[in-house]
This record gives sequence, structure tokens and C-alpha cells, in this order.
Amino acid sequence: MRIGLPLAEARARLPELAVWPQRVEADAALRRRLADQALRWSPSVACDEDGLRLDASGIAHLFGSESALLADIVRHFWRQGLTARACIADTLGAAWAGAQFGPTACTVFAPGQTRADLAPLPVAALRLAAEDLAQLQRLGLRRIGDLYPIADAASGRAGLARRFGPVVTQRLFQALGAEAEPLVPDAAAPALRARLAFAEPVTAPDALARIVAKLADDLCAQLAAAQLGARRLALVFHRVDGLPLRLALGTSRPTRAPSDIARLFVEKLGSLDPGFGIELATLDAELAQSLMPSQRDMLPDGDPGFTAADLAPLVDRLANRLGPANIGRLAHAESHVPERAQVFMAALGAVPRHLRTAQAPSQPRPLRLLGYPESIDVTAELPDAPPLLFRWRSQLHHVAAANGPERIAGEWWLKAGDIRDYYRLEDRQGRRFWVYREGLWGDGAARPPRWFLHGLFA
Amino acid sequence: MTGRTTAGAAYAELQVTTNFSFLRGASHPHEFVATAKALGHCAIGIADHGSFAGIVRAHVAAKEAGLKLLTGVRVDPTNGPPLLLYAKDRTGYAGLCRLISAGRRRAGHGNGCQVSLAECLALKGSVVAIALDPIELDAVAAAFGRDAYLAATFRYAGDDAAAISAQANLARRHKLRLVATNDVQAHAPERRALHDVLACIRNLQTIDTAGYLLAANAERHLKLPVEMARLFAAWPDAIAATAAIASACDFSLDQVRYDYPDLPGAEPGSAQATLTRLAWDGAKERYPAGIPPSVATQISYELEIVAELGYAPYFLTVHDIVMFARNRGILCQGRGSAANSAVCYCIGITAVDPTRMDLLFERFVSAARNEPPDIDVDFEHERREEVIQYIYAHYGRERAGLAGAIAAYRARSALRDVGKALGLTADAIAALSGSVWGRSEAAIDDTHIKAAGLDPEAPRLRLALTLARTLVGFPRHLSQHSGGFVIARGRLDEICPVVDAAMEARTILEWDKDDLEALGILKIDVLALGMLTCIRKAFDLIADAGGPRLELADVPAEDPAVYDMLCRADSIGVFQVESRAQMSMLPRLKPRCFYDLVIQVAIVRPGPIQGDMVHPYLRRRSGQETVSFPSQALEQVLSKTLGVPLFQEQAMKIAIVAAGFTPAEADALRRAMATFKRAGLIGGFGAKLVEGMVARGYARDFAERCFRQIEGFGTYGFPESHAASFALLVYVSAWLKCRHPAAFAAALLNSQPMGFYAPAQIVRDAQEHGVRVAPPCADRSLWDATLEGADTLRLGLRQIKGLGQAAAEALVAARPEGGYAGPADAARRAKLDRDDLEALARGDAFSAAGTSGLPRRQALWQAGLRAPRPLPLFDGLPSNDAPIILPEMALGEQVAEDYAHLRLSLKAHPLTLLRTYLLIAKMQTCAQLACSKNGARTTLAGLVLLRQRPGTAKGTIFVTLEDETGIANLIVWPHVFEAYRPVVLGARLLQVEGQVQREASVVHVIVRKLFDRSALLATLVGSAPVHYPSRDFR
Repeated sequence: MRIGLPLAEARARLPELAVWPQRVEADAALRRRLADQALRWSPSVACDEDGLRLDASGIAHLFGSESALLADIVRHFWRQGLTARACIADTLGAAWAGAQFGPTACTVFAPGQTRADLAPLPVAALRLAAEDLAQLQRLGLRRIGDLYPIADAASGRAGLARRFGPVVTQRLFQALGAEAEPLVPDAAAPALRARLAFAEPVTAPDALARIVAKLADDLCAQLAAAQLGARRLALVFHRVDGLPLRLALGTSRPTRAPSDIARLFVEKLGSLDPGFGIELATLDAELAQSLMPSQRDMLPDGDPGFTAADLAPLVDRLANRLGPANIGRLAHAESHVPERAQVFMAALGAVPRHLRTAQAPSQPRPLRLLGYPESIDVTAELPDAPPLLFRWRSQLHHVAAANGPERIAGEWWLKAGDIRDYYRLEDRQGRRFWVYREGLWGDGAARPPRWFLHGLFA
Repeated sequence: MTGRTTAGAAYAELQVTTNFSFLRGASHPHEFVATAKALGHCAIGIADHGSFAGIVRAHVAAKEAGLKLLTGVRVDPTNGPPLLLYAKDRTGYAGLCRLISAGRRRAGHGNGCQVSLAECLALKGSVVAIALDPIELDAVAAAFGRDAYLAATFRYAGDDAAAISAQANLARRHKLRLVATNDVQAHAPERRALHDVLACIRNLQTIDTAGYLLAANAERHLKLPVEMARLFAAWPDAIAATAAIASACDFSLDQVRYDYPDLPGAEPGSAQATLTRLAWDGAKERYPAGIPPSVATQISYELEIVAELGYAPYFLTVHDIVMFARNRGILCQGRGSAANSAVCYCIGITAVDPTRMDLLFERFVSAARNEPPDIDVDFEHERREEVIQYIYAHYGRERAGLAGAIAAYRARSALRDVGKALGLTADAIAALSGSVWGRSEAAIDDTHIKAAGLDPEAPRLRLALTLARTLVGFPRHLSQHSGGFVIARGRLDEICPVVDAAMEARTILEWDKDDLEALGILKIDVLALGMLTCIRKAFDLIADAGGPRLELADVPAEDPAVYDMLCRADSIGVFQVESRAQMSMLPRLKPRCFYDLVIQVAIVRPGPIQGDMVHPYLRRRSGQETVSFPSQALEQVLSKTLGVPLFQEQAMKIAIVAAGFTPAEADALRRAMATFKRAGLIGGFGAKLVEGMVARGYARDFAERCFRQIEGFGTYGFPESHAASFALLVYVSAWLKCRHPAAFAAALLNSQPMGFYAPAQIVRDAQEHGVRVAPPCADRSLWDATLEGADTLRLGLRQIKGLGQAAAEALVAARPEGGYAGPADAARRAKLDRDDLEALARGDAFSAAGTSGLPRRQALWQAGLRAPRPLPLFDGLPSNDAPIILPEMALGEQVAEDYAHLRLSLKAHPLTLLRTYLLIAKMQTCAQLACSKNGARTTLAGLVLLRQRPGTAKGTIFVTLEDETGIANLIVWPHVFEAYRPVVLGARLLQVEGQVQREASVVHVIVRKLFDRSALLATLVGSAPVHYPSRDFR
């Protein structure tokens, strides 16, 4: 097996091959978590698909030496079951090369030695596209050192660029330090972030609540400026010992009310263990959606009516307090079988894609659908005329008007139920019922059709 | 309700949608017809969505069942109600055909049928119209008058009584008549599940997400007339209307008369005279020494039958097309049953001399069955389009069209679509369809499912399998036949709808070849054959090199050197006999004359192999078994093939001579053999054949064996005439290979892709035949491979991967006197861009260019340089860039680069470079293997050329390895394959251990162990991965 092999071919070679789809989002989330942890070593951390980058300027002495810093990093991830390779070097490019292709898991390229240290590494260590690598390979330029004579020639950089284009040249010169490459920390990665650092570690619970309120104020101001509202929020307390404590929650509608957001978090603070204290706190709007500024209410305390917007904070509070699974609502689900035509779902959750466009049934349905159809006795003409009279809960109803049958067959791909013929009935008192006969006359079934009452119209 | 009675009102279902409304109807046309007949309907009206694709099948079924069929179509006009239109007479049918043709061509291929209401209304008088929605009713009523109807359907939707009443009121108000239909999409309620699945497939949904796209109930099936009468008890006129419409429509497809086209420019009625003249003139030319009496008799006999049946225009049409090709210098040759005709030979359609064959004209044309003969003609594959466009231009698009082909669901595609619709995971579907190795008609059984790691009892899986089984055979879409042309005297689009094919500039009929045959419509197969291209190119190369100008007929016959070569299985590139199976047969069969080639072509086919005819024939041929005949009568039939029936014609003659079949019955037997779709049918002939033979005094076991052998043809048998046509090409290509190996190899390379072997093997084979092969060169190569002198082949620029033909031709055109100085020079003169230059440099085309040539890496460096280019002032001066010092390229790297960019290397074989290592590992070469004794143990290594898993071999894998000395054929039994699966399928350099199996000069290795040595290849180049291409599973 090799990377890039088509799945079908891999399966032909190894039929019992276990296959999982790549989960790009989960991978990214994991990297983000690792990047959060890396804040323990350096305040300036960036992460991408290839790994983490830390600005290590002036921090190595805190750990004893540069190699001790690398050892600490590798050990830290090793404890979590992750194999890490690390390199510290003068330039970002050289450090990347050393981490990917260096001789050991912890590589230190001594200051000023970059050129010599990089020379034996393969050109792949220059962060190049596959096509560029193939070009270099074909020309017999396999190691970074092979490029030096060309780069040193009279035409130098221009000559190299003429053959390989700007990227190869740039990568080489970046690695060698001849071209600057700043490290852009990921702090800006989440949509919006509020951040508070403390000179003295904070432990008191009420102090934490104040921190949350401050963060919420800050974040909501940013949201308002961007005309956004948060749907998913993450609060992270960085403990003195490096462990990040993370609280995340979602809202049912985009929101940027600081008091609402703060309240949702404060309700959950009790579960946190601040340990020896919190030194840094951040609040991220991980998912933000457009929220236009709304007009302020003209009536000071007026109650002009009940709107969906009023309901949302209540739903958020209830869901976050009682658990999101316990607050629900009804949604249409397209099914001909009446009891399956609606589903109960979590109020906060997004509507599943296949239900998003679900329509109501085209035929009229009763306002009240009984949880369980109730058996009734019916007098009706064969084979499929509507009932003339029926007895429900020991009361006799004379049918004054009827409509039907509406024939609904069971969903064969689930559990094949009997065919049902539904009738809308109105009795002499004007009450309206929804009844059905299960089974058809003369369909050869062992037992005769049975009648049920399934719903009541208003 | 249980008693099926036709008493009471007569009823005909008039709104039937079959599965030829793709992914809508859930039953075949014949299922509807049979069910309607059984239920006692007085007629059935089939109206598919904008199509007549299924109507012939319905017609055939209706004739068989004795039920009246109304021919109709459903259209959805852009500005009116959906309409069912039924032809009342031939005029109405012609109008419908043209309506569909126009609508489908307007909508574009596969996008349905787009018509306007006005077009539909214009058909008034000869068409009955049933509106399905109550819109624009006044217009419909005004146009169609007494023939205008409004449909009403009892759908069990809850409010049917009210809905039908409303419909009845509307009909009354707008002066239409109400007609009852059941909007049928399945012949029986059991098809509801499949109907839902089809809705899912059509809407790209799964059963769990399809929601209201699915049907609420299963009522849209054919119902008993009494049941329909009960549902419409309040509207008896609506039921009566169905019978009224049925009697008003007096059209049957039998009325579609097809006339052969006249020869353009000829007087009508003079066709027979023209054909007679052409035949005798041709005969004189074919036999300059005088027409042999047997041929003369045959010609007269054939002309008589042709005259009797009026087929002369057909022969002349084919002749006309063949003449066009000849005049354009396009090689062509008739194949198939036409080679049974001396007339076809004399007028130049076929090339097999009747004196060399025993003709069975009845196989081609028979007076007993009034059916058109079938003439298939092969043309050069690169130039067939010229012929096709000639036919369109010459006869006009309204008179000529390609036959359609109905692409139907097969086991794998059915399972994939049903699986998706039922929400099976992609993994499960892949695992299941992976278990259907190869294209299989067979259903998937439980063992396969378990082998794929799935539980056959899982309910969804069970459902998917059951439904997929029903779906197999359902039509999916209309595509084009490989080359069957229908040419008519009158307008073709009044016989059958003519629609656009997916391919540019092609128009096709909605009917496939079975439909055409059922209606007796003639078709001419204009087929493409790569070998004809190759032969023509070889002829051109020979003539250009100063040799004679050859034609197919000029090739010297029965050259012993050619047969010597074939007996050595030296047949790479030769038509038909180059496959591994054919190659292993050649030394055993030892062909010595043309007829041996006919047998060779026919014998290595699944039919004879499964019928177990190969070994008896070989034994008899080698004298190990005496040749005997069960009777004198059969001796005549079977003497040519030593008593073993090998050809379809022989099977027919056995049936006639030994079992007393009439020629027509024998032909029916042949048809049963030819079409596997009717595989069940051939069984019926079994008893008749065996009993017939026993009654005539043959031993029962001999009779049964005969039948089994005939049954073997059921899937793939060759008619002798077809084998003879192919054998001729075998001989010609073998002669070229033998006498003009350089030209032949060049022609093969220039006709790629075709045949069985990659350029690397063709080049290597040419080298082994003494041809010097030179690499592609910027200064010397053309796009195509060329000859430099008699025995030097210069590879063409076409060999270079990534180089376009236009760029290559620009390079050739701008070539300066002393050659190109380098990539920059080429770029300037030929205006090539960097991609072209790099392709040339990668293909090492500059290493011998100019005065001193340029090493590959230097060329690559220069080819990749970007602008700024040197100023015009300095044009032609060497660039003043400091010379770049690049590492030398080792031989191993050169070879790897050659393989990567030329697909072959003339510098060395990779295994030569690895041989030292392989010698240490005590590995044999392929050349040593060829001298090994039977049963010897062997270890060898080679590049994998080819992996095959033939359907007839029950899971055995055949692998071909190549090293620097030759090739080795491996046999991997299924249990070994299973143990070494990743190695067999993944390795590029394979090491095997096994036992030598030798039969005559045919050597195989029965493999015991395999090892993947691909890593060794990487050592040639440092670390670059190299892909040595193999051709797998073809």
C-alpha cells in the first residue's frame, strides 16, 4: 500500500482492508487543540497541516537550553500518545526542514550554521509542490546542497527563478535566511476572540465570573462591529500548569447580547477546577453568522407580543441548563405514514439536511394525532366505503359526512405494515374524526380488516 | 373479487408508462401486455414519456398474446397540458415519429422531449389526444374534436370522488369526453418497492430522504376491468370511452413498410440488372483465368434468390459505401455472414475467395425467412468517421441514421444504484460490486456477499439484492449501436423517431437492432477495425520506402515463411492470434495453410473451449486419435474440421443432415446460439435435435454430445465465414510482420492504441526481428514512426508523453538545415511553449539534435527556462547564461526517465542493470526458462507486463513477466492468488518461484510463491519512484 493508491485498487489487493473516511474537520480540531497546548511554551503559535510553529525567541533559557526545550515538547506530546519531531533553527524554513527530515526527533540547527546544516537534506525539505520536486529530481538536484552552486552563480537568484519560478527560489532563500518569513500566530484564526491575561493567577470563582463578563463585553463589541452574532462559543482558561480548561456551547440563534452569553457560561463555571490559578483566559466566537443590527424597542417596557426572538434566550438557557437533548421541538419529516410525518428534535440542533426542505403532507391532517391509534367498532359497506357509524370509547357516533379513502401503504423498506385506508368523518354533532381501516377486504389475509381512530380535527 | 371475469364493461388501460420511460416505469413492456391480456383488457395503450423506444417490444409481445396494442406517446408541451397521443392510422404514426424526433432533438441528448402545444394540435385528425391536466382544454377540444379526451384517475388520495366529479364537469364544459385511466407505472402491485427505488435513483435521493417523491400506495398497476368499472361506477361513460378509443385507433406497427433505398442516380427498378452486371464484371476481374464453374453456378443461384426477394438495392447500397471507401483509400473488408456470398466477393464487399471456402448461402440470405440479410463491413478505425459522414451526407439525415442501442442495467450497475437508493454505505456497495468480478450477467449469491464481509441476512442488504435482481435488464439510457446504419427510401423519421446521439454529428434511431430485426428493417454495420488502419499504414510505409504499392489482394498467398513464423508463436502484433491464449495454441495447432488459420481464429474462443472441442481437434490433428465420422452424411459436414464441429454453420448442417431440421429451423437454432439473451431458448431445440438424430440411427450419447457442443456456441461461437474474413487479416498482418518487420512495427506504433501489446513490446519484438530502432529526435523524427532505410525504424514524436500532435508538427515544419541548436532554438523557430519543450527534453529528443547534441539534463534545464527570452537582436546567438553544472545522469536514471516519458527505453532493459544482483540471488532469465525441462523448479524475476483473469479460467490469474532476455508466462492458481493477492496485484517487479510446465514448445510457470521486488527498481534512480506500466485485466 502507498499513499495515493486508488481505494478500489487497494481493496483488490487487500479485500479485508478497513477503511475510514478522512475527517478533515476533526483533524483540524485536533491540531487546534494541540496548538492551544503549545501556548505553554510560547505565546506565539501557528498551526497548519504540517504541524505547529512556535516563535522560540528568548524562551529557550526558561527550559535550560534549546535542546531541553525540544525535549520537553516531544515528551509532552509523547505522554499523550503522539509522536512528535521538533527542530529549532534560525529560520522557519530551516526548522520545518529539520523537523520533517532532520536526523533525530529533536534537531537543533546551531545559529549561523543553517547553510551547512541544510545541505545534506533532500530538496523535499524545502516545502515544495510535487511538480517542482519532480523537476529537481529529473535534473539530478536531490539535496538542498546541490542547489547552492546554482544559487551562488553570477546570475544567482535570478537564474534559479528563471528555471524554477519564484516559489522554489523563495523557499530556498527563506530557509537560508536570505529572505524574511515572519511567523503569523494563529491567534487571529477563530472568527473573533476576546483575551485577558493576568499578572497574578486567578483562582476565586466570583473572579472567574467577572472575567467571563468582561470577555463577553469585549467579544460582543467585536461581533457588533462585524454585524455578526455567535452560534458557537468557546471559553478557554489556561491554567498555570499549562492545562487548558475549555467550555463550549451553542446558541439557537445568532446572538451578541453580553449578558446572555455571560450567563450561559457562568452557569457552567462551577464544574471547573482552576488548580493553582488561571493565567490567561480567551473567549472565541468559533462560529459566527450574520446578524443585522436590530431596531431598539420604542416602548420602554412594552410587551408588543411574543416573537421567536423572545423565545430564543429562554430556549438557550433551558437547553444549556437541562441539557440540549431535553428541550425539543417538532419538525416535518416527509413520510406518508402519519405518525412518522413529524419528528421531535433538539431545539438547539441544526435541522438535519434532509428535513430542512421537508413539506407538510398535501392531504389534510388532524390537529391532534393520537399517540396510539384506538380500536373502534365500525359499520361500513364493503369493500372500501366510508363507515356509516362507529363506536369509540363506548360512545356511538353516526357519520353525517365522510371523505375517503386515502390509501397509505406501509413503508416497505422499514417494517412492512398493512395497507391503511383513511377516512375523514363528521358525526351528527359536527365533531370530526380521522379513522382508518387496516387491511383490505379480500386481500387473502388471515384476519379481517380492523378499524382504528387515529386523530381528531378541530 | 377473486374470480377473473371479463363480464360487464370492456376496459382498456390507456395510460401505461413502461421502463422505457427511463427510471419511471417499473415493468417491461411485455409484462404489461401479458398482464393486460390475463386480466381481460380489450386492448392496451402504451405511451412512454416522449419516446417510442419500447414500442416494438410491446408490439411483438402484443402480437404474441393476441392483444390489440395502441401505439402512443406521452408528451409534456411547454404551454399546455400533458397529453397522451395515440396514432389512429399510419399518418398519425408518422406525425408522432416526427413530433418525437423534433422534440428530442430540440431538447438535446438525454434531456427529454420538448414540444409545443401547437405542434401537438397540428396532428389532429389522425391522432387521439387525452389531456391529463385541465388546462388549455378549449384548444385541445377545438383541434381534436371527437378525438379529444380528458383523463380521470382514481388514485386513492382521499378526495377522489370530488376530484373525478370536478374533472367530469370540466370535460363537459369544454366539450371533451372523460376517459378513465389508472396512470399505470407497474404491471402489478408487487413492483411498488422497485417503483420507489426508481424514483430515488431519478431524483438522486435515498429511500430515507425521498419523502413525498415516493408513492403513498401501490395502486398504479393494471386492474381488472370490473374493478375499474366499480371505481368509476358513477361515470360509466369514462369506462366506455376506453373501448371507443381502442376501436378508433386502427394502427399497428405491421403497417410500417420499409423500403430499401434506390441507388442514387439509378433508375428505380433497375437495381437487379445493375447488380447482375456488377457481379459478373467483378467475377471476371476476380478470376482473370476464367470463372470456375462452381462459382458461376453459385453466382447465378444467389442472383436468383436476391431477385426473388428484391434485395438488390441493399447489395448496391453496401457496394456504394465500399466503393466510396476504396476511392478514398480507406481499407475495408466485409465480415460475418456476408462472406458466405459469392456475389459479395465479386462486387468487392468481402475478400474471402469462395473457392477456398464451402459457402452456405442460406446462412446469409434465405428465401424461407423473409428477413433482410446482415452485411457487416470493417473500416480503418481512424477513418471510419469519414464513411459515416459520407452516408449522412449522401443519403441525408432524414433517410439515414445509426441504430440505437439500449444500455440496460447489469448486475453491478443495478446493485450500485439500488444500494445507493437504499442508503447502503459506499463501502458496502463497493464490497458487493467488487465481488462481481468482471461484467457479469449472473445474479450475486450469498457466498459472494459473505466473501465481501457482509451479512446476507441484513434486511436492507436483502432488499437491495432482491430489487437489484429485478432491476437487471431494465433499460437505462439510449446510446448508439457500434455502427449499424439504417437507410430508407423515404423519410426515416416517419418510420421511427430519429434523435441526437451523445456524440457530435450523429443521429440515431430510437430502436435497437432487435427492434429493427423484428420489423424487418435493414441495417448495414459500418464497423471500425484497428488492424485495417495498421495494415494500410504498413502498405503506405512500404510504398514510400520504394517498395511496391500493395493492396489486400496483392499480398502473396500461402507464403511458407509466414506459417513457419506463426508455428513458432512469433505473433506479437499479428491480428487476433497475438493474445496469450492464441500464442500458446499456435505451436500446437501448427497452421500450414489458410484454412488452418480459419480454424485457429475460431478455436480459441469461449464457445469451443467450453464445448470441449479444442482437445479432440488437436489430438486428431496430431494423429493421436483417428479421424472418424459417425456417418457418411456427417463426413461431408465435418471433414474439414476432422470430425469436430467448430463453426456455427457446421452446427446448422448437423441439424439439417443428421436430425432432419429444415433449413429455416436450423437457422432458428443458429439464432438461439447467437443471442445469449435467449439462452433459455436453445434448450427447446435440444430434445428435437437429439431425438431427430437417434431416429436417424445415431448413438444417443453422440447426439447428446453434439448438442452440448452446439450449446457451447450459445455464448460465443464464430461462423466460419466470419472466421475466414478474420483469417485473411491474420495472414496479411503475419505476412507484413514476416516480410516487412520494420514497416509493420512502425504501422503498429502509429495505430496505437490498439491490439494487445504496448509500444515497448512492439519495439522489442521488432529489434528481435533485426530491425534497428532509433529514438525520437527533434531533428529527425516525424509525428509518426518512420523508416530510415529498409531496416531502421525511427520512433515518432508521438511516443513522447505530453507532447501534442500540433506542437510536434510545428517542430517538424520549422526544422532548420543543420538541426536545432537546443530547446531555446526550437522554441523560437517552432513557437513551442515551455510544456512542449519540457516534454521533448524529458523524452531525450535533443540528445542527438544539432551539431553536438545536448545531454538530457542540460536540455531539461534549458527547456524549463522562463522568459525573458533573449532579445531579437541576439537571436541565434548562444545564451550568455553561465553554464550550469548538473550531475551526470546514470544509465539507470536514463532508463527510468525513458520509461516514464517514452514508455520504453532503447538504452537498456531495467533488468540488465539489476542482473548482477539477480544472479547473486540465483535467478534464471526468461531465456533460460525457455530451455528448462518439464517439471523443473525455477526462480525468476521480471517486470509485470500483463495480468489477466479470464472469465473462463475460474479465478486463475495469468501473469506475463518480461526481462532483458524475453518473456515468461505465469499461471497463478486461485489459492496462490488469494495468499499473495497484494503482491500479484501490486508488484511492478515480481520475483516468482514455481514449476515449469512444458507442452510442445509452450512453456508456463506454475507459480508457488511470489515476492514484490519493486523496491529494486528504485535503486536504479536513487529514490525517484518509477512506474513501469503494465496492462491489466483486459
